[in-house]
Amino acid sequence: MTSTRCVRPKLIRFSLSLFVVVHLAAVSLPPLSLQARGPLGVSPIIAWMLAPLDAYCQFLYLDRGYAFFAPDPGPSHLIQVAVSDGEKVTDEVFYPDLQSQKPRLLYHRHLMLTEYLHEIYRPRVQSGTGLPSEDSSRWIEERDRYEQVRHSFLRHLQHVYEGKQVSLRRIEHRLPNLELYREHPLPLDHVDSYRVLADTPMTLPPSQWQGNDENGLRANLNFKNQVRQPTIVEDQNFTPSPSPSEIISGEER
Amino acid sequence: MSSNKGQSNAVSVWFFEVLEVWDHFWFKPRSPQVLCVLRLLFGSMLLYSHVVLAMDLESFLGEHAWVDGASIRSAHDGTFGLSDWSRSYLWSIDSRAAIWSHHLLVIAVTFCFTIGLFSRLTAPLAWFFQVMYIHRLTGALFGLDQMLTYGAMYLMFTPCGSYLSVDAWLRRRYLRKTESSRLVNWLLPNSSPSVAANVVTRLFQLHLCVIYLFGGLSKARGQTWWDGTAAWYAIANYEYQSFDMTWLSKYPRCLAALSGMTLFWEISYSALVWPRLTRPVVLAFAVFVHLGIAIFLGMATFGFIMIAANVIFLEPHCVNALLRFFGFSQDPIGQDTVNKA
Repeated sequence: MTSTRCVRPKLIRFSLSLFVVVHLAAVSLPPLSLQARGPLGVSPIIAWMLAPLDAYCQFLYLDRGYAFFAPDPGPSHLIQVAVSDGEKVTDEVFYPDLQSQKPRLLYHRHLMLTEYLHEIYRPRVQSGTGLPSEDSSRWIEERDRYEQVRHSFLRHLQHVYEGKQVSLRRIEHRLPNLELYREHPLPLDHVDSYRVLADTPMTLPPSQWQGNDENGLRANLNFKNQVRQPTIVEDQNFTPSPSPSEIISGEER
Repeated sequence: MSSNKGQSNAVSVWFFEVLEVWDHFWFKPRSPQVLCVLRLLFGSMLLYSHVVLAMDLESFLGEHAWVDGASIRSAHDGTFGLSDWSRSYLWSIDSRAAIWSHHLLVIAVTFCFTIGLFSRLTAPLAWFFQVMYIHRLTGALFGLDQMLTYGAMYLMFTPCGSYLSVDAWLRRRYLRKTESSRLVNWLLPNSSPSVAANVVTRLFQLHLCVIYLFGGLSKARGQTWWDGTAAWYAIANYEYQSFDMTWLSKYPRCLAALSGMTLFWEISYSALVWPRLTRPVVLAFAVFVHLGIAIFLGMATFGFIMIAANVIFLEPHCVNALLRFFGFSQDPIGQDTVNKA
């Protein structure tokens, strides 16, 4: 009886200690794997240690990197939506929109959605890209995922705008350089700070499809008095008034 | 020979000392008062998050959600090459009535968890619902959701309803110390020190250290946190801005100091938060940084929950003193017994 009393707490403490070690590994390894990632992928030792904990981390939402505003605070990514009645654009909306999405938490969820669409964006792959077949097929799958989410966005917008035709494009809102801002302080929502992120096929170098350098298309938003009142104009990837044949069930082709 | 024996003795002494420290760190019973305060803070924010979601529920969970259930499912089930263990029954629920009934149930459970009504049951339920929402709302989540999920996960293993709660009131009102059964004692826990409270406190503390350490390390890989312009880029982000702070551009040294201090604080948090000498400084800077995020970067919810998370590093006697100051008394039942969980 005495020995059972002694052994049980020891066994419980040993089991708890084991659980604690495993849980702390599950907490630490996912962000470590994000930091230990290079051109060849994740460090093999980290990947090996993380593999048995994958399910545990993923279900408990521990598979995070905790990279808030890192490595550098970057630009925001929005979407601009054109609503048309089949002939002309009747409405133009930016998402997120602080005026219509209140309280702030709701606005922030919309901002996260538009950031997500940007994060999963992959350009179309065209033949002759020179990618190895494995990379090419992975790229195509990721592009398909982007397309599915984008179509889901469009279906939602079509539902919101009661069956009207909708189309969307991704916009990047760039941050002003500190030195330039000190010399020429323009409003943060100045028209020049917006760029349309074109859906350029994969045959071009990444600098041209990511749209986050000087090759990005300047968003012609037609600001009035520095206030964000955009008018969508046609560019190579965005047709604000698509003809019915270009729209299938409210989705862009 | 005697030298070898001496070395072996030294090693075994060292080993047993390590075991003793480990035992003391993890298994020394701890009062649950801090966890009860965290239940109130995390529960309130979880409840607020669910109420805000209800304001546009169908745009996030309905048949015509921004990201519909089928898209979320295929992002996780391997359709597009990526297969993981994120699972949620909400992927399959499209019916308006079902979504609303479910959400009202979630709000009711979270409310009960927050006020500490049957917290032994409502805490795990609130966590489970949160995990199901997390796996359904892919793409619409941010740091707030991570912290809420972790907070609910840790609190459900503790007697977090033993103080400042309806459970504590029920216990005082209806239970007599000598007559209560084991099940009732478990259901309406007392606020005596417990091993469970300590294990969970330690896990949460270490988790917070990991969050700050990797937050800092990932910033250290950037350029702007070193050249001192990161704080400028944070306040110059129009989508995050709640107050126009661009006047700070006239004070680049101030911006550089903010950037550098944030980087140093995040990286050193996991080391400096443990010694009693440096802990107040580290926690005070945490309040400063997160208040800044809450007030100026439009993320009041995230700022609030991070400050709340830092409460885990307060000693129970500090929290007790604070609560006594505000007129809250100890639970009179169970102070004399140690619940070994």
